[in-house]
Amino acid sequence: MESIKHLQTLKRPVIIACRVMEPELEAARAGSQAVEIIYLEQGLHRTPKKLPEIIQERIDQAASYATVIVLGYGLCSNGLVGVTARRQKLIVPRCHDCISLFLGSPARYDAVFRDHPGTFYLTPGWVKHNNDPLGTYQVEYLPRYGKKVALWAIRESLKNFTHIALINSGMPESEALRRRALENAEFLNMTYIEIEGNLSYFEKIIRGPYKTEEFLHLQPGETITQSQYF
Amino acid sequence: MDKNQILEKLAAVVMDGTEDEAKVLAQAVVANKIDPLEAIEQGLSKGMEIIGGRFERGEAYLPELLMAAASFNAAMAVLKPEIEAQKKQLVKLGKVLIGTVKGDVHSIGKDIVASVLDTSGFDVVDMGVDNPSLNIIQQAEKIQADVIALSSVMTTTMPAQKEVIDTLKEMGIRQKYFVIIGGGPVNPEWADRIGADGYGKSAIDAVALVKGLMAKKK
Ligand code: B12
Repeated sequence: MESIKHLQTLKRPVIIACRVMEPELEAARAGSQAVEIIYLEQGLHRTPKKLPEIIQERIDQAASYATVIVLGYGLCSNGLVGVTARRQKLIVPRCHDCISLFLGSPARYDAVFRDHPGTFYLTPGWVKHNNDPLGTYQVEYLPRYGKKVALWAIRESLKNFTHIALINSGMPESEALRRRALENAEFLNMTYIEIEGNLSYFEKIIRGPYKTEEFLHLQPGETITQSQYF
Repeated sequence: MDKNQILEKLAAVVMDGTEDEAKVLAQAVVANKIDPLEAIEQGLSKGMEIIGGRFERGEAYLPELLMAAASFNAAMAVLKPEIEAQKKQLVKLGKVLIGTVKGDVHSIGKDIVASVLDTSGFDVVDMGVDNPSLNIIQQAEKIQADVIALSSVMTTTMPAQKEVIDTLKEMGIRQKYFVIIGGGPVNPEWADRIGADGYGKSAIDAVALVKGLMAKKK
């Protein structure tokens, strides 16, 4: 207990990230305890208006011991707007959402996006917490609304979508993920595609370098705004 | 039931997402000779606004929002012929071309705005989702729209709203249209920055906004 407590307050970089990135961040850190990673629930992405307060709370808690704080978040529909750097620098990826991080860069996201806008992306984290369409249907909608309404709702919400894309970053769970992605595609009658991802952005979140083209640097007291992303 | 009770119930059935009851109540609106536009503003749209707020706070799930929209549309189908009859007598309020911008396939918010504008007496042409800027402009020219309404639910696609305005400028036809913008992450500062004619936070806002703009035109 003593030693854990000690570990938590050790002066070191602190990363506050969405749990959707846990598999990739853990793979990138490869067991190293040189950084502390705090994960927040993925479900928060549905209510971006609540995010700033929750992230700020964690920043404030870590402010007494972190050497630097890095966020594992995209702008996430202004979910970071208003978040303020406290005693230490705050470093934030210059990305609109997590898909850029999974693909390695916003430029890759733009390119992939242009090909098929109606694409639902799957990664280990999206599937693990049942945030893929099939998981949403089975775990969230079916018990709550019954089969008829649940099926209607999932189809209605995805009516503009044509593709299910698996982002393959060579993670150990890739095979299971592929099976699940194929099941999703079949369930929704969509085209299955596979897109290459990589861990490079996650490695940079953990170890730097925090190049200014890739990361925003906020000095103590500075606040995140939407225009910093444009 | 008196008028206020009917309006209150209309809001409630939208929130509950009960389509059949929505239809029955809409028929009561017609039978009681309540102004259908008032029924929409004070009843249906209010219900939509409340459920939208609950969704934003994480108190309602997406299917509830979708069911609310379906009830809204079911009631609208009943009220529509009444409004059409009124529209013929009224001066046309204006023609609105609406669509989600290039790259964005989110449609729920845009659909609500389109329905509410339509039922509020505007001629609405809905282009659906993922519309290239030039297609939007061509369509606006073709149907001689007064207002171009652009929805974007992702910050990634907000620049496409700017692209539409910039392209209108390049073509020398910017002043022919009012361009209004909206969608979850969009805000008044962005509207200012890209030179839009207005920003609306919600569907009800959108109605007030377009009415205000059309009044300027006359
Ligand atoms: C529902 C939803 C979906 C549904 C879409 C269903 C559909 N048919 O639309 C599903 C699950 C399919 C989906 C998919 C994706 N989504 Co999504 N989704 C959402 C969610 C949870 C809600 C959006 C919504 O419908 N809100 C409810 C409506 C009523 O509100 P609204 O759109 O804001 O509209 C109101 C007002 O803004 C206004 N309004 C809207 N338009 C206009 C226009 C004018 C002119 C005016 C005046 C007013 C106005 O009036 C409306 C009514 O009051 C948001 C998070 C959030 N809470 O915003 C994420 C969100 C938008 N999605 C996001 C992402 C990343 C995705 C995916 C890429 C995820 C993936 N794994 O693949 C895909 C692909 C999307 C694509 N290419 O377009 C991100 C976007 C991040 C960013 N870059 O900005 C968000 C913000 C979630 C997040 N925090 O990460 N999504």
